[in-house]
Amino acid sequence: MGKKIFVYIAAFALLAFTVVPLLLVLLGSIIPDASILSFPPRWFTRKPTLAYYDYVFTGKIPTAYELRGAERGMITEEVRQVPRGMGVSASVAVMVMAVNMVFGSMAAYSFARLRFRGKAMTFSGIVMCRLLPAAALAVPFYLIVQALGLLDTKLALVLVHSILTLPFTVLILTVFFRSIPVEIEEAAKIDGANPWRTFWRITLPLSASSMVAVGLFAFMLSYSEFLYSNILGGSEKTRTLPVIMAALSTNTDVAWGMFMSGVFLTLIPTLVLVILVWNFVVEGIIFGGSKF
Amino acid sequence: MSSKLELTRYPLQWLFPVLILVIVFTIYPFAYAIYNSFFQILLVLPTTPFIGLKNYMRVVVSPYFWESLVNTLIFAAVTAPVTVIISLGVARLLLTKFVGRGAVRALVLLPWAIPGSVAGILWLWIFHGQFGVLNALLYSLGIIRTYIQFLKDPLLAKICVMIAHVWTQVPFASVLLMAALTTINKELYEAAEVDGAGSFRRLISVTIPSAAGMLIIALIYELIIGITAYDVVYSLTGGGPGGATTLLSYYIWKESFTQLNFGTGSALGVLVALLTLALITTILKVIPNQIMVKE
Repeated sequence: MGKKIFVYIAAFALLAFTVVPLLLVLLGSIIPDASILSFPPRWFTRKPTLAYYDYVFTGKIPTAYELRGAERGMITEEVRQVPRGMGVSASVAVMVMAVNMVFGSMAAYSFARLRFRGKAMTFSGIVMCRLLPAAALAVPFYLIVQALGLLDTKLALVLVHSILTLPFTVLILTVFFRSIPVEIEEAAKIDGANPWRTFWRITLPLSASSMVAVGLFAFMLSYSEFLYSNILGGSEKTRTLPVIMAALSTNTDVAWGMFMSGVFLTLIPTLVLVILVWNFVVEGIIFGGSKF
Repeated sequence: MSSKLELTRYPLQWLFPVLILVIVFTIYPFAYAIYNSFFQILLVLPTTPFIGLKNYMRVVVSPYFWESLVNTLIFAAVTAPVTVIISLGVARLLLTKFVGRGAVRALVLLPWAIPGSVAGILWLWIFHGQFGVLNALLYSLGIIRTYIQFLKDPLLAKICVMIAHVWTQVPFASVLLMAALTTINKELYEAAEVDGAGSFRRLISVTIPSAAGMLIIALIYELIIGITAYDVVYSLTGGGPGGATTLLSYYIWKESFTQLNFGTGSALGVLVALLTLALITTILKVIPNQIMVKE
C-alpha cells in the first residue's frame, strides 16, 4: 500500500514538472497583459480572453490595443506567420523522419549483420559526426547549400536535419538489430532469401517499435531545430516555427500574451503526433522486448 | 558472434545514402572549418590573409573563452547525469501499473517537442524578474516581499538555465531507458528478491548492469547535447548576466555571427570538437561497453 502511494506521488511530481510549465503558457495566452504586468500580482481579476488567438488566425487586433498608439506597437505581424510555420515545420520533420527510418535502418542493418573491412571505422565515422558543435559548421553549411543551389528550399532543411539525426538513428538501430537473435534470420537465409529480402521481410517488421521510436526522435529534432533553419531558410515558404518564435523573442515590445499564444500553438502538431503513435511505441517496446 | 559471419565486400548499397550525407555535410564542412581557422576572415575586411595559429592564440588568451569553457563543462557535467538519473526514475515509474498511466506517458513527452528557443521563453515566463510566475507565486504565499531577480544573479541564472535544459531533455532519455528496461529479464528481479535484495540493491545489481548499454548511450548523448547546447541560453538569458551563462556554442555563434569573425569562430569550433571527441572516447574506454561496433 505504501508503495502504491509512493507511485502516485511520483507520478504527480512528474506531471508537475513536465506539464505545469505548459499550462502556464496556456494561462499566459488567455489573461490580458495588464493583469500579467500588475504588481502585486492580480492575474485573475480581469476576464480571460481569446483575443490573441483571434489575431493570430484572422488578423483582428485585440480591442485592448486599438486605442493608444504606443500599445498598438505591441501587436506584431510576425505572430501571424505561426500557422503557416506549423505547416512548414511539420512537413520538413515528416520528411526527415522518413529519411531516418529508411536510410538509417539500412546502414544500421549492415553494421549489425554484415562483416566487412572498414566496418568499425565507418561506424565510428558516422556516429562521431554528431560530436561537432553545430555553430562551428554553420558557415560551411551555408556555403555548401548555396553552391548546390538549395538556399531557401525545404530540401536543404531536410538534408541538414537528416545529418543531425542520422548518427544517432544508426547507433540506436544497430544496438536494437543486434539484440534480435540471428537464428530468426538464418531460417530465412536457408530458405534462399538474400540479405535485402531478410531485411525487409523479417528484421524490419520485428523492429517496428524501435523504428517508430527513432522516427519520433528524428521528427522532434527536426521540428525544433533552430540554428540551421535560421541560416538556410529565408522566405515565408521555408520559415520554420523555431525561427519565427526566436524572431518574436528578440522583439521586446511584443505583448506577452500574444507571445504565449504563439508558443502554445507550436505544441499542437507534436501533440497530435504523440497521441497517434505513443501507445504504439510503448506497447511495441514492451511486447518487442518480451519477445526475445 | 561476428566471427560466424562471412566476410563480405564493402556494402556500399546499404550505406551510400548515409555516407553521402556524412561526407557532404560533415567531413567536408569540418575540413573547411579547420582550413578557415588558419586565416583571418573578418567579414568587414575584403582580404583574408593566412595567419597560422593566431586565431587559436586569440582564443586561448581570451578570458571569455575560459569562462565559457568552464561554464560548459559544469553545465554538461551537471545536466547529463541529472537528466539520466531523473529519466531512469521516470522510465521505471512509467513501467509501473497505475491509474492514468497512459495519459501520463503521453503528457511526459510534450517538453521534447518544444524547440529550445521556445523552451527558453517558457522558462523566462517562470523566472522573469518583473512578472515571472515563480516570483508571483512566492509573493502571493508571503515568502518574499520583493521580487527576486533570478536571471540577474550569476549563480541563480546558471541554475535556471540548467533546469530549463534538463526539462527539455528528460522525455527523450526516458523513452530510451524505457526501451532498455523492458528488455531486462524479469527472472533476474525475482532471483534478487529471493536473495533478499531491497529495492535499492535491485537497482544497483540488476537494473543498472542490465541496462548499462542504453544508460551509457543516454549519458553520452546528453553530454554531447550539453556541450553543444545553445538555443535555451539564447532566449532565456542571452548568455548573461555578464558571461555567467555563456556556453561555448553560444560563444562560437557570437564570435562568428555578431563579431563576424569567421576565422576565430572556426578555431573555436575546432577546439570544441576536439574537446568533445576526447571526452567521449575517454568515457567509452573507461566504461566497459558493447556499444561501438568492432571489426
